[in-house]
Amino acid sequence: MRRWKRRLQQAATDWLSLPPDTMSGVSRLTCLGGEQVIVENVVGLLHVSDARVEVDLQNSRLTLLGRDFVVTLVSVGEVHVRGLVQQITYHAKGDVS
Amino acid sequence: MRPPHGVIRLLGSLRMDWRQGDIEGVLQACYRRGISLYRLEVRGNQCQVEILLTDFPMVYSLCRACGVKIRFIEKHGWPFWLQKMRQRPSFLLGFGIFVVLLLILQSMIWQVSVSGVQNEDLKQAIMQATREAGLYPGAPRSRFANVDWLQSDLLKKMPNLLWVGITVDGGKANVEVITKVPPSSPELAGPRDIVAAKTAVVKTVYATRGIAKVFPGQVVRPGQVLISGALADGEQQVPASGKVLAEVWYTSHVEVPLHIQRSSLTGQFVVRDYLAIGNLRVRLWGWAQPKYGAETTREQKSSWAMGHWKLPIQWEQARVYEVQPLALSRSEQAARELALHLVTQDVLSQSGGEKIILGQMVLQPTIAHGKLYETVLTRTEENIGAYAPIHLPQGKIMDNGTGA
Repeated sequence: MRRWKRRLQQAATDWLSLPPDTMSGVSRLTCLGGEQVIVENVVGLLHVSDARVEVDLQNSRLTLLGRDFVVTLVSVGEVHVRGLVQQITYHAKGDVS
Repeated sequence: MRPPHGVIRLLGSLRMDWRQGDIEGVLQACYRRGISLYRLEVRGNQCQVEILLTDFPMVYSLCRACGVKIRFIEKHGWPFWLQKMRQRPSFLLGFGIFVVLLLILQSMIWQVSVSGVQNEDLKQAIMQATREAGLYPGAPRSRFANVDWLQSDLLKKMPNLLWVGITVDGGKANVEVITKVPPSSPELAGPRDIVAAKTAVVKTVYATRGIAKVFPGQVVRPGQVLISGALADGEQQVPASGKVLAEVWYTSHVEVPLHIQRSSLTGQFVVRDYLAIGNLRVRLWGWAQPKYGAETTREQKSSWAMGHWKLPIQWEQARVYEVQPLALSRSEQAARELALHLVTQDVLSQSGGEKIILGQMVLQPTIAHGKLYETVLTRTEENIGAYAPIHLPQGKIMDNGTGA
């Protein structure tokens, strides 16, 4: 049933040529000028500190490294971070960082 | 999904400082439970975070479970404001009284003024009447949404008013009235005579007051007393009144041309536009040169001005109309009729009030130099009486005081 739904969603997105993140839970990362980062479709919040923010995405883990991080908003599926970003890293699930 | 930050500040938000314990665990638990966190700053074992006030009980229990100590930094929103107000009931009461007072005062008439009359007594009377009708300072304003009834009421109360208009503008009521203009009182007539205004032959004398001094058939001259106001040889003097109908003769000399030159417009015209610069006129438009037998020109000049200063450049438009000369001639019969008509008009328009034309006589009709010359005698019947101060017979001394 779940697979059916996913396939249907996939087909609809392809047919309407929509960007994939609109329908099928693909995470999206928006980085504005290296100072503001918006991550959508987040599954979980793993770590927050002023130098490192780590969030859980569907198939991977995202690590932001930098300075003076302030998480301006943590909401359902959405994390907004402000600060000086130095490094953005994706780790596939199962990898050891 | 999430309210903007300004909105959470209004709804009620709390900024807290978390220390010690498993902060990471609290954050993750919050995320799992869908609790929105704002302006989250984590520095080592210390964290500052802002949450919605409604989420606080859950956050508090999570913090207790993870051994996190909470310290409040900021409080925002109306729930806190409401609490503050609850602690200061007198302020709230004052505010409430202010609002109520404002509502009461703005629903009252504050000032009633009367315009349209200069007379101070009448003004006071109108004020009194409006007060009795219910319009006075302090009266509720809602009563005067429709003022027709009040206007008719006032008109009924004050019969010397012609019109009453009431305007209620905010807390001010203005009663505008128009008073009836009293009819001019008949002139008080002093003692007087009625004398003849024209040379005439008296036909009938109707003396309603005074003594008639003339008889029908008598020829009177201007200034002659017709009805005397002096009774009993001048001892009693009254204003004479009455009518003296008499036959009056008018002699009119009239001339009527038999041939008339008249010109009329044919309706054909051309337009010429000029630009007038000072005295110079430059034709800009209208170059047609029509072959009119006769023409007349009418000019129209614009009055371009800057403020009060008339510009030296003006637009001028000239219309050249074609004129057709027209020669009319009358028959002698028509000329005679016209002459008589003109004379009648002239006689009737002369002073002396209403006239009845008794007869007309045409004398010496001659035709010379293309004109008809006539002398017409018109007999009319009219009232020849005119008022004059009392004229006493010669030798009689004016003596009203002691009586002779």
